[in-house]
Amino acid sequence: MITVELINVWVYYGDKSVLKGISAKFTPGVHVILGRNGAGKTTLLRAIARLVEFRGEIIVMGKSIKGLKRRDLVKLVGYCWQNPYYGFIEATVRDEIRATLDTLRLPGNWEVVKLLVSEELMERDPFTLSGGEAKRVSMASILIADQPIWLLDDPFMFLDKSGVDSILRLVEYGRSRGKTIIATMHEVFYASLLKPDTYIILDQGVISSSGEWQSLSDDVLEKAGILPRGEICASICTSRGIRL
Amino acid sequence: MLLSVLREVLDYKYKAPQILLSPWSFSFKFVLLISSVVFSITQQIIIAIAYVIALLSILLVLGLWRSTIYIITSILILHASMTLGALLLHGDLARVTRFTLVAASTLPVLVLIASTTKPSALKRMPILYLLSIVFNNVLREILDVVTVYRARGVEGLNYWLRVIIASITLSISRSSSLIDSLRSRGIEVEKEH
Ligand SMILES: Nc1ncnc2c1ncn2[C@@H]1O[C@H](COP(=O)(O)OP(=O)(O)O)[C@@H](O)[C@H]1O
Ligand SMILES: [Mg+2]
Repeated sequence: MITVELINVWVYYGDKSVLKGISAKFTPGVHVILGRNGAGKTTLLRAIARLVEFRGEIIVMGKSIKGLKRRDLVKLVGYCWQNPYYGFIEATVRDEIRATLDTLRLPGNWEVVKLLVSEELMERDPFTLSGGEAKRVSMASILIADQPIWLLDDPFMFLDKSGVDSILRLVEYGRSRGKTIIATMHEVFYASLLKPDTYIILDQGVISSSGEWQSLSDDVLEKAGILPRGEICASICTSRGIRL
Repeated sequence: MLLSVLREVLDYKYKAPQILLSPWSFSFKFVLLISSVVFSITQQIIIAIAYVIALLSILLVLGLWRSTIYIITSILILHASMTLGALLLHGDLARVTRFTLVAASTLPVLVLIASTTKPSALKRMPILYLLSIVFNNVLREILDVVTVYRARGVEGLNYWLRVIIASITLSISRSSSLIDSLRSRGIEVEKEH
């Protein structure tokens, strides 16, 4: 079942085209979008969440997103932005997490919150959180609405080991519940940890390569300006039982 | 001084008495704001002064002493400079006093509102909601930026110029990320293209 489909999507900032005719299909499972800084990864996710103007067509769960009401779109697509501090809107973590539910009038899936945010953080001011805590709170504040599509922009940004583990648990949980998870990053090592089904490599606004995760080669990575899987990465992954 | 006042106002929400934080108390504070203006224009000067003192005492009792000192100093400076101006230009001293009274009675209420209103209390008023969020976000970032300037040893006029420029660029660039964040939660704040 195809849950997200992009057909010849173009995005411009002023005269500059940042996405140049992207076409792609996603099914339930885990998909990573790799690319160097400025490749257009964030813009691609923002287009799927209809946060930028785009040309072409984006279909989510069989509906063109151009015709959806914002509230209906948000119930389908959970967009977790890159820098958590730029999006906090409430005075406490609890209010921050509740904000989406209040607007959408949904009971929410608190399992997601449990995977990401510990109870002690609930009464804290979001702005006083450490980078990793902030990232997890901001993801929980969106994914609590239990959307079928999760867009995770650089989910490992700021995270330490326990943070990385909690994201891995979250993604496993999402996978087991049939979510379509699209995550961007520029580190193939983190991508490997997610055990993705497919990859897309974005370079200067075009897809330079895509396919099954298993078929991704170091050659392709290097050409797109991404660090290839080195020895260190290999040894960490092997110790976690992940085949590269 | 100004920055420690800002910090006091921003952090007060976390220790304020619950009753001041409740959404319905916002209407009360709003009425207080309007009546401050009306009161300081219509009442006898001595009564208006007593009213200002009462408001300032409330702030003191609540523990917002930095803000109280700040309001008193700025009102005194405002009054002195305006009186001087009026004397030089043969202006109306009574008007100057009234103006000072309006400022002196509304400032404490504004501080009270800023320090005890959680954004969620304003949810039903989208514009105020967005304003309070941007205000909160930008102020916090300015406090960080200021720390960076201090750490780099920037001082004097140059320091203040940079703080002002940073505040403007921050409010512009942050409001677009905040609009993204609100939209991602299903809150539409400006018309879509
Ligand atoms: N709001 C904007 N206005 C102008 N240019 C932008 C804007 N946002 C991003 N860009 C540019 O678009 C390109 C792609 O950005 P982005 O999608 O954020 O890349 P990535 O997430 O892959 O690092 C970059 O060159 C960036 O500078
Ligand atoms: Mg990005």
